[in-house]
Amino acid sequence: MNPQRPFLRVGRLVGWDLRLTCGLAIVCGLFLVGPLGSLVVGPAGLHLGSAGYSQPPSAAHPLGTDTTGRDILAMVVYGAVPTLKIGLVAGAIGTVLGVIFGLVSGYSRGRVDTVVRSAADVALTIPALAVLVVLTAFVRTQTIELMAVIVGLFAWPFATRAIRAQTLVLRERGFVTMARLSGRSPVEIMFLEILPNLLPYVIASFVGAVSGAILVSVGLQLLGLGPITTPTMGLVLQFAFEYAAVSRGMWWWWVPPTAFLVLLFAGLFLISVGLDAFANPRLRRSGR
Amino acid sequence: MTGAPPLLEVTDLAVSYSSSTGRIAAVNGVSFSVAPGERFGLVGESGSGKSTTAMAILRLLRPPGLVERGLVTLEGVDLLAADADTLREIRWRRLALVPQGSMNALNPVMRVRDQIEDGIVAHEGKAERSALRRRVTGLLESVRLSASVADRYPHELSGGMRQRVCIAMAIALAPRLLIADEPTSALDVIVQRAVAETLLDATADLNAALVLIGHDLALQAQMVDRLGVMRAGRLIEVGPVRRVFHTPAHRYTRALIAAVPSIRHRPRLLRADQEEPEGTCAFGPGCPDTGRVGSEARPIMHEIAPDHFVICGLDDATHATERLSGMSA
Repeated sequence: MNPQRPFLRVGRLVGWDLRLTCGLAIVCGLFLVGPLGSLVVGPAGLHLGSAGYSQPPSAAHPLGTDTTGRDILAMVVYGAVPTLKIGLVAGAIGTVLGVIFGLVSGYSRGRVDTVVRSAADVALTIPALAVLVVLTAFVRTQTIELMAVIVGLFAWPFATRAIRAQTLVLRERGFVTMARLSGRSPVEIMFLEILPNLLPYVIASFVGAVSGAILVSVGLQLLGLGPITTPTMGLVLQFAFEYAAVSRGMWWWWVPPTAFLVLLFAGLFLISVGLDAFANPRLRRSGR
Repeated sequence: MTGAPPLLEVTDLAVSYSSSTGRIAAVNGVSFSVAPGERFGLVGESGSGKSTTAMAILRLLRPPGLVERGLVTLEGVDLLAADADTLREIRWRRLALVPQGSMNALNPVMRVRDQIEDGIVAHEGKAERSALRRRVTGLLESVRLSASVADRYPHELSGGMRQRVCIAMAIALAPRLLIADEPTSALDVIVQRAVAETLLDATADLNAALVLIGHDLALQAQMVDRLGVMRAGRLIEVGPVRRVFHTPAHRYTRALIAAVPSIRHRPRLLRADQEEPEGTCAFGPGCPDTGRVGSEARPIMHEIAPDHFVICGLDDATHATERLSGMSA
């Protein structure tokens, strides 16, 4: 192994686990749906009544139209990026908060740890969706970004617990003692010495937080509490349920967004399982 | 031991760990000193308090560990009272630690070069990149490692190489005193010897003093000038290494030396408490301290030969009774 070439290592990591490779391929593919699709499909079909009403798939509208007269393909293409954006922003907020709380809690121990740990434990038992329902009902002007922030603020407890547990292990390692001896401050030790060691866990937490955030945001939208000015998969599903698309046999309305979300969750799941195997050697199958 | 003032002086050091059942004394009234350039060994079984002593000197104890009392001075500076800035100034520059390198003393996700440079920059401020590079190369060469090691990660090195890197880090700022906490305990005997020689050479080049902590008596015999034996938080015997080996005064020291395996004969393992009953002084009935009341915390050390001290084996109660009987007789 050549230490001079970090790229080789990334390559080895990706090529190492088939699940990780598949997961990354699926998620990257879904990211391309928006930019590539918009080259083919114009945004005209997003407007109410711009296409026929409740039309099954046809040459003009490959995925049909909904009861409000919108083109489903256009909704899916232009809703892909905002849907992913909610997940990424919320996941990033939750992970950053979780990393900070987890590092501080695990490294300082004592009273700080007790407070953070108790808070995380309590927050874990509160059903985030229930709180978010109340919260989003209060917030009148809904945007994608605002929703991402609100969802993200509830995504920290899992990341906090995961990072804290690993920090507790690492703080007893010799190199932390050596760093203290060399006069590094606690902040430097936490973020420059310990955090780089936690990268696999941080990425795994992030992936988990992203899929959790997308699930919660779609749930909120199904309840009619999401932003309605930007197309998202959740919005398409919200209308599909409002207009009883399932019982009316309008499969072209609810299948595409559902398929998008199922693929997304499957991709994120594969990534997180693949990363788990990387971060936790005990899960590796023998003979690899 | 005469003339030059000691470099490191530890006086009546006591450290305890608090647990749910109360305070447990890990180090209990330990005193010793190390002269400039001297090599001092500290041996004892696991849990005897030797590593805790080192951690207390380095001010690396963390709760629940607590220094109960005592005085530790390095070149006259009170280490136990030093504030964060003074400590930062002293540690590494004047007082460095050679850790158990195999016990992950190196950050697994940082290259060797970055770890050594970080230590230098933390104390001397930013320096020119090429100058730092040359210094790291020089340091690695002084511990007999090739310059290419600098660009490797710790997991790419063998245990012996990692230990050498740790020595290189410790000597980076030319300290006056190195504390080596079982620097070779996880290595095989061949590598152990080579690393021990490297450590001795490195300290000799710097004319630095060395406190070597370990439980390997044979290794200590080859490496140090003076030896201290610890047991249950106490320093029970201190003396020139030859004297301690040839004429050990304390029964525990005798048992410890008897336990060193030999190729020629295999003695029956001796337990310290089998040889002589508890509460016996090395002086026997003629203990000069009979009648003087030592305290549990501050035991009396007898100087049985020049520079060779042994703890008085009589406990307080015995002292007290003997004093009483002596008075009545």
